[in-house]
Amino acid sequence: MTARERILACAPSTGQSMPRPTVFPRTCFDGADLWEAFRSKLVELGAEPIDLKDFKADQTVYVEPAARPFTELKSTAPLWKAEVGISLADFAIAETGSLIVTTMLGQERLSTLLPPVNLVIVHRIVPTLFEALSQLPPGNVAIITGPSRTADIEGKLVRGVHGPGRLLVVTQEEE
Amino acid sequence: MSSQVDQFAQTVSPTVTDSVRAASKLKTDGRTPALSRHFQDPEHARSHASEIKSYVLDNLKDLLLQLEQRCLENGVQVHWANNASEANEIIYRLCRESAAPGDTIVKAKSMATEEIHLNAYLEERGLVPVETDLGEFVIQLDNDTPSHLVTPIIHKNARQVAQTFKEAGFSPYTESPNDLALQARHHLRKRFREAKVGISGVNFAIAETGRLVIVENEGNNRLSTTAPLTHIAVMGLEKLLPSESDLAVFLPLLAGSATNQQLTTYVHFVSGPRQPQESDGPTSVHLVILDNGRSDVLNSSFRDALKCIRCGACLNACPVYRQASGHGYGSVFCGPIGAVLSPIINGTPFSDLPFASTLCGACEEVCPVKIPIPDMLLELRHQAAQSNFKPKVPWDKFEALTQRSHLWRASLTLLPIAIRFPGPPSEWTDSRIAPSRRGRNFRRWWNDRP
Repeated sequence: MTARERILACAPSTGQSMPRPTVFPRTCFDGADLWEAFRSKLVELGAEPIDLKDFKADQTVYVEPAARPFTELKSTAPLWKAEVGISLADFAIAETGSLIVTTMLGQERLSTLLPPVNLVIVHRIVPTLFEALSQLPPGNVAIITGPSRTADIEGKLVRGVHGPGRLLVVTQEEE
Repeated sequence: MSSQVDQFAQTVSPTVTDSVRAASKLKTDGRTPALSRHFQDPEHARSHASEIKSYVLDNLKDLLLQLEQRCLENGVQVHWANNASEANEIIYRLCRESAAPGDTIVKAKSMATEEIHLNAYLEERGLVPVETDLGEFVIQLDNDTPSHLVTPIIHKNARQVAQTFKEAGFSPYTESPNDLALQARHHLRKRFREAKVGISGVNFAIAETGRLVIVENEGNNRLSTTAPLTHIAVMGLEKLLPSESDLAVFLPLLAGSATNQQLTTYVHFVSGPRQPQESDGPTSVHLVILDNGRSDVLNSSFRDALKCIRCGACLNACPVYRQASGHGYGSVFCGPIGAVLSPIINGTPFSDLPFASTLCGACEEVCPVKIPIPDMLLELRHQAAQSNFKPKVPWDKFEALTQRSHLWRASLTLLPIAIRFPGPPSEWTDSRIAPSRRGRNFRRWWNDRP
């Protein structure tokens, strides 16, 4: 008997559909101004809402193909060496201050991970995590909520180990 | 009378106890506010999560089959392992397909890989697994073991970490947590780049879509599972959720219970190997489904222990854990849930872990999936009594004593004297405050009353 056969033989199966809980626990989000709520969450998380025209790229930059239409900047370094990675998000979540990032248009997963600064452009927003999950694109996806952090040493918060220590977010609200 | 945990607690240095207590208290105090900021009714969220996990365990076979089917459709290769040694063999074989002895393998934090002692197995065979989670990285440099499910170096302070880094050759010497962390980041960058294989655990495997969900704050997990060309994910067979909408409850519950966050910084959905339209990511992805004792309890009174999502909240709340730290438990799984899981997983022989508890119930109160840990500890004690396990207190003699009234009366008179001398009765009363007595001896009052 293979391990698979043995394990499946031991595992229960009710045969009929067991009732799953239907009333979903409500969250506290009141959903007034979504972009405003999103921006304050970003600040709480240590991320930085910015305006693209105020961004000065005096650092070496890697611009994802998906993000190129939105910025005049060109890549000046390969990804492993870039100081800033510029990416495009699918959409944002107002309730949690999160960004949904995919590999659309060949966007590299590592551009939101390798450079110490990640600049993400986002146009679309949904109110809650629950809604976001119902609209999640297929494939390899990441939900990013703030800059990389750890508190492993004495519980003291440190940013930028190992992902980007600075997360800049450009919100270009669709008309 | 002292159990193994008690004895260990006496040897723990005050620095460690202080570190563990401070961190645990901070986390426990922050848990309810964190959950209440997100959920209108955190108790409802806990019940909901507990019921979903019951559904998973009741329908495990169907969900596992569905998960396997979806994974295969997504291009993920699925392997099944009865026990630790089978899992290690599978993982080693998969590593050797892309890595030669001496090659770097990067590892993200995973309790499943710790329970099977994967690192030792790979190292014995010439491979070089490098832990990339900051706490685990320090542990690995120190040849130490983690003392907490979520924050592995809760027992260390910055000076100890600085010492470890100095001995590992990192410079300049610094005791600032920020600079230490950045030194680790710098060192590990090279390892991510050169690694041939990345190994991770799985927080939630979604049966409906076959996607493997991994959560973290640092980014080392995404790096370990994206940069190398091969990704091996190891999961206990119970770590499933039926559908992605369930994550709307589980992700904030896990983050809130583990680290008082609303969400962890990164929630990573691994769908499968690099697709034609993708420019990076591993070209082969493997899922290893591990049993290792879990299927034995699916029909037992310990079944609900399999609901555990490894948040560590029970550790943070436990007064015994705060006193002894994780190392006192002598097992990969520490804390209250560890006292239940250790006899189950790997079939650790009976220890006195179930007795090392005051049954205060703090763990059950904070468990996001409502595992009735104190009930399970009692059941384990009951099973120990049924077996040949020798209890420390001679209960059979105590029973005889209570059934002979003259002996009982004599012992009541002698007890206040006996506790003044070293020996078992004083061990019982030493750590307890007896209420002060008022009035007369009850028996005499009863006999004298009109």
